[in-house]
Amino acid sequence: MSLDDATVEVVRGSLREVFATGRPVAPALDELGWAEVLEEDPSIATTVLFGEQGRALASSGLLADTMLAELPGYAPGTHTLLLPHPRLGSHPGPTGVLLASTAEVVVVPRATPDGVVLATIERSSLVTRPAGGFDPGSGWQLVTLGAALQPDSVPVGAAWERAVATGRRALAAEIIGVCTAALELAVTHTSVRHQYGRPLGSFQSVRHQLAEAHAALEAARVTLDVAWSAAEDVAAWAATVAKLRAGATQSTVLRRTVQVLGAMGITLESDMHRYVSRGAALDALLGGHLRLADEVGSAALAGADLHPVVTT
Amino acid sequence: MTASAPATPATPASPTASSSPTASSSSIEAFVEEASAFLDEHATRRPTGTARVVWGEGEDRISYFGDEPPEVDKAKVDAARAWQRTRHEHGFGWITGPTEYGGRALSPLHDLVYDQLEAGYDVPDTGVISLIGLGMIGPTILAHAREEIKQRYLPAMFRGDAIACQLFSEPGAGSDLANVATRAVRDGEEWVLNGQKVWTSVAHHAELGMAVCRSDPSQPKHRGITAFLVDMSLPGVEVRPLRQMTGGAEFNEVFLTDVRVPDDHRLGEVDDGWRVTMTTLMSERASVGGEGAGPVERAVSRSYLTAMLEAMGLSRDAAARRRLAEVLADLTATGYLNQQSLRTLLDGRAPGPEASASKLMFSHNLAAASHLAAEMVGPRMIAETGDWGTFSWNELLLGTPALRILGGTEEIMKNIIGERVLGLPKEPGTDTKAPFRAPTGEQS
Repeated sequence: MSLDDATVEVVRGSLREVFATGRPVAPALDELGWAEVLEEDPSIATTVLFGEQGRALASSGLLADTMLAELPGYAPGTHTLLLPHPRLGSHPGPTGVLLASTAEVVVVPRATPDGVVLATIERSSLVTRPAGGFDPGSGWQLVTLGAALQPDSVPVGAAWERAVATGRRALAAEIIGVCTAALELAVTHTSVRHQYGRPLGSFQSVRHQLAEAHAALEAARVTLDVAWSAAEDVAAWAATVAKLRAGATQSTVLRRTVQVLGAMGITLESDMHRYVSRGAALDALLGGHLRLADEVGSAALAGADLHPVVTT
Repeated sequence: MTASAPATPATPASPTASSSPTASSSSIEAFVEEASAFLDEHATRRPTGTARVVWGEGEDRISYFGDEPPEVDKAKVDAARAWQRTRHEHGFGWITGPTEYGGRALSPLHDLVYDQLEAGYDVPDTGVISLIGLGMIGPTILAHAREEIKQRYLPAMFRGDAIACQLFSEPGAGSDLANVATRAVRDGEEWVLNGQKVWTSVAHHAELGMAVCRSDPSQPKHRGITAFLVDMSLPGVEVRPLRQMTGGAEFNEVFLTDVRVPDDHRLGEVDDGWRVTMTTLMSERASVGGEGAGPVERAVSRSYLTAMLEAMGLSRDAAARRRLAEVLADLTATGYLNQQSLRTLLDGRAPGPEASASKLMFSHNLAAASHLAAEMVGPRMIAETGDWGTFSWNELLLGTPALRILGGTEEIMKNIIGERVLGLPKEPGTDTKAPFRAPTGEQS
């Protein structure tokens, strides 16, 4: 099943409204009948949802919810997932990140010699502190786990890989949303601001930078599209490549959009800084692009093909 | 290679002559069977599973542009003509072309299917005939030439008998193609052409040229242009090779001195040549479907580059691994972009400005791969040490700048994206309304 273009636009419009109001996302999605949309076409639904979240610079626990859906037995809403700390890539460890979620129960992944196991823990019993840092708007909480994990740890096997792949595709979509909005802001700014009697955007030095940003963004978009259509046995790999591509793209795009806004791009007067910090923060989750480049390079040396996906 | 093209087309043309894209789709299976039978009979199938590169084995050549001595070059062109003739005789010479000019009137999908089938066989590279002549000038003739000219030249071109070149760029008209100064002066039923063309790919092999000339200098530059089909054997046509830094000489200067062209060889109306030129440039299918099996594709691949990293002892170097992954991720994305453009084409839509993104990525990738190789092999790319897979990279490294120029420079591509995709304000042109004037005037 798949959604037709007109329906996608209606859905996109509704999501944009939801994010614009700033109200909690999860109940608003229920009102929209999101579950049905998701069932109809998970790839487009997820891409549009996270694209709009990125565009709106919104913070929510949606990423954790989307990953939890791949892990049997945990209900989004009452549960949220502790994500691996950015320095750990996709490997769960003793520290982690909680997204902006109100769920009372936290699903905690832990790496063991037999693979990833999950345990649940009351949020109130976790020691958390705001992540702050580069993106103060993220709403993330850093968690350092004590020894007192619940003993009900269950091995999840390949489900963890699927959850990470889903998370990476969602993050790639959100990064693309952030970059799209930043590029639009840069286009608007350089179209209306005049210097030397001409709009800035009519100068080639400016438009070339934005054209490079556009090309990078198109490459990221198409790589994500392909990752969604990948067969199950290569899905994780395709998601990794999509996340790598999107992470590298936010660096390419945002460096350029900041530059063409001139001094305005580096002050709080313009929203541009928010795209920069959000883009970098999202890149850091589940493996930043430099880390993923290293992983993909190693895998390529070990014989992995980068494009195992036949789409035509 | 083609010279730099100007900022594209104001009016989207519908360049590819073809039946509707859905027509005959039911007969695809029969077509596949027919094409396979033809290829089995006339060509050798490539052995499968040869994609894996074993370091030090196989031909050590990585050039995009030929740099062979003229006799080798000529032999390759002859082979290309012969293969095109064979294709034509069996109904595969012009799959989408109208039947009255020797085409099959099938859909672009049939064309694509054939290309993919043929890629599995070891056949001569026909790029010298197809890229410019069949791909760009053929559709222009079909759209703008008189009936008798179509009948005379189209079958010959698609039979491999007539190679065509673009007499477009000039010393004073590169990216700004509308600035052409080559004069066309009417003399009864003939036109007299005088001027100089440059960066003309395949002119030294060509029987035909499409010349863009200034017919009325008193009009603004885009208006006083007329296009002609020029028989390259006419008196007054002189082709001089230009040698490139790769060592090859694939493109030329073409001098036109009192060349007399019959009026029936005019393409389109008098002074309406800019529109005709746009048809030609819009017909460029960019790099769509251009995944070949040549030496460059072999070298700029996961298999080759990883073998290289290992051979250079760099497989445990994190920086090298990252660079490798970035190059491979870009290559992968470009492949996907091309597939996307292809789907656009198959849906019956004309390739739009989004193809510019694909072209930007393509040249960027080859440049990035050669730079990665340059860093890995170090001085062995400068001095020939006899080590396999090292010095040979200089051919691609020196060839990539051309790829960033030809068919529209990267800067022009970025202008197109800026204006047509992102909707940025146009750059004020200072010379689009004033009369072109005579070539003695100052034109910058």
